[in-house]
Amino acid sequence: MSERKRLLSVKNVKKYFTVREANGNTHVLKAVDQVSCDISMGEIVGVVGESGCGKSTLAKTIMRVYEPDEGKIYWKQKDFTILKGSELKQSRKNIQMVFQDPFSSLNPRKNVEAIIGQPLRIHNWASVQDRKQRVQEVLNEVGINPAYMHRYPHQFSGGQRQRIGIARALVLHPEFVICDEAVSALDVSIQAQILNLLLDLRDQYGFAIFFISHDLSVVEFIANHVLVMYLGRVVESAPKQELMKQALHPYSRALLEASPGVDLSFRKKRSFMVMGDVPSPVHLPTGCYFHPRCPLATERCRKEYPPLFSANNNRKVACWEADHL
Amino acid sequence: MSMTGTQKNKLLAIKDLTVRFHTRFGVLYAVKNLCFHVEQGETVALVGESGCGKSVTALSIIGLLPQSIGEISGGYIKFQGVDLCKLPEKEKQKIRGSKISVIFQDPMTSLNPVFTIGNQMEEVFKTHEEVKKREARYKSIEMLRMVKIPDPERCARSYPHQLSGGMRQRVMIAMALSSPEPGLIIADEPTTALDVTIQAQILHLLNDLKKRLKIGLLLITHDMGVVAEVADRVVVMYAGHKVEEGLAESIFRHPLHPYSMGLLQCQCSSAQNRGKERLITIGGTVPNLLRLSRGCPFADRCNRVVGKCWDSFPPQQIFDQAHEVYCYNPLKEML
Repeated sequence: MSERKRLLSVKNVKKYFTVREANGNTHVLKAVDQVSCDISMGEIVGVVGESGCGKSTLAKTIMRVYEPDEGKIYWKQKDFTILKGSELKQSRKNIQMVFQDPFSSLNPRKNVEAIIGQPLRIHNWASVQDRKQRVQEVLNEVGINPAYMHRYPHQFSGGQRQRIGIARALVLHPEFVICDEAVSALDVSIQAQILNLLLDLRDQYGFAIFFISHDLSVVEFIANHVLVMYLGRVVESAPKQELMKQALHPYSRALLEASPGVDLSFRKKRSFMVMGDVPSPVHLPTGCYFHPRCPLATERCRKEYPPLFSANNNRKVACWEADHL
Repeated sequence: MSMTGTQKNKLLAIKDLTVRFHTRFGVLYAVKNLCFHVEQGETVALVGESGCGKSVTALSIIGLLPQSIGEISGGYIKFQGVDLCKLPEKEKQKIRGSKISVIFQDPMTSLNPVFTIGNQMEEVFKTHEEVKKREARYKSIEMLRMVKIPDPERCARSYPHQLSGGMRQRVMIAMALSSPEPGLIIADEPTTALDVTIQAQILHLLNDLKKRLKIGLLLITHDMGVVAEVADRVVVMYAGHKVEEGLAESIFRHPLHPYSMGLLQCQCSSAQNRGKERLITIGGTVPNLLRLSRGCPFADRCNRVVGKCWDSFPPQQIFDQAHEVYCYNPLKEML
């Protein structure tokens, strides 16, 4: 794919959950269904989709918080899904996560030094002095005065807390960082600061980022490659520039059109608005999952789920009607 | 649409509103000397980041400030010419929910989980008019149909958890409009909890209903994208102060206050950020309201700061088309 070193490969990963209803019936919820993607060193892959589309489940499956039901995850060509014990711990050192809510993802009873020092302790940095020094270093990098390391999370603003969350993720020099809605809970002016910070740190250390967001404009800004997910499946996978030029899947196009821009010209031309709600993930529609909301749906879309077609320029799309767009 | 518009079509007029909170750490002013108005059939957007006083303004209008610590310490809020601050609680209760309604951010917590949608909607009718249960049910279903809920009869029989977020927000809108004479709808971050494709639908619905019923809409949001979508006029707030007000068109074409400019530019979708390696940002963070300086609260984050900014809050300056700004060094070259 690229000259850069392949870091992570996800191959046909499935994660199903069993949902029990009040009346005793059980259903299968296909949270992540046949998802594949590749990430190279220094690359930023964005995942975008509405709530319930499986983006967070995908992230947790990659972290092996959830075990995939099927499919393989390769970390540097090695099968990550079969690792156990100390080997798993060693690999996990290289994969870190930044969470959405900077209020609930930091332990309120620990000070910043303890919060950021925790991963170091887990990975056997025995010396208190070394730990302290590394914590100070990483705080400096994320733009927090190291003198504040004895403070507690409630003494910081939302943006500062998210910086602490990033510091915790970076303290072990990971090669791969998963950001699950890392800027969604922040004010716009702070959002921009955090996005710039992530890019600066990426340039400095060359780690790869798996950036999950419901906001297409954020993903479009930060990512090199974008995956659009709908009800557990990838419906389009494209390099950022290609997607911005033209979305091939009607759902990607709907997302593009629906995300409000800071520009009054948006008001008039909105030709492609989808109606209705996202269907329940336990009672999926037949055929293509998007067909009930899709303005281009044909008879075939109602019956068969389209495979992920390869289009030109390293992009893929799962739509029977993609060439009509 | 001039600022000296006649009093009679001003649905809501707020003048010099000051709201203060007595906290453990001292007195803070959540809203200071706020003036703005909403006309009939108009959408006014109150924009700002968290802590700028936009939700406190909404709570003051409907008289739901936490009474133990919050108080309106100055100014007036006139609704259809009547000062709401001077009204006894009983009279306020009559206006609240019938002439002024609020749509909150999270439709899950604003609906009661143990009653059906129909039940909760009927209650609105029964509270504000003398109607029989059957008629109330009929009217509820009509309202649900108006907000374009498919199969309104079934929706009325459902409990809130059986509906999606978008449907619940539609129900909230239907409830807000369920009165013989809706006047003003205050929508406090109505689409923040919703997905983008649903957000677009809800915003369009609100705008359509506003036009059809000729009500006023006060839209409270932090998202300039939402503002661009539906607002006629925009009030930008920062740390309790209004810093800029104008027609949506003038604010988006040529913002005058450096803060408004920053808000517009730091969005990922703004034209200035297209194809850039890094986003344009506003440095620093929102100030602590307990420790505000005498000067302009934005001074320490502002890139156009001048000496005077540190001494006093800037006075009003008016530019074309009733575009007002409170700044010593506004971006006049944008005009």
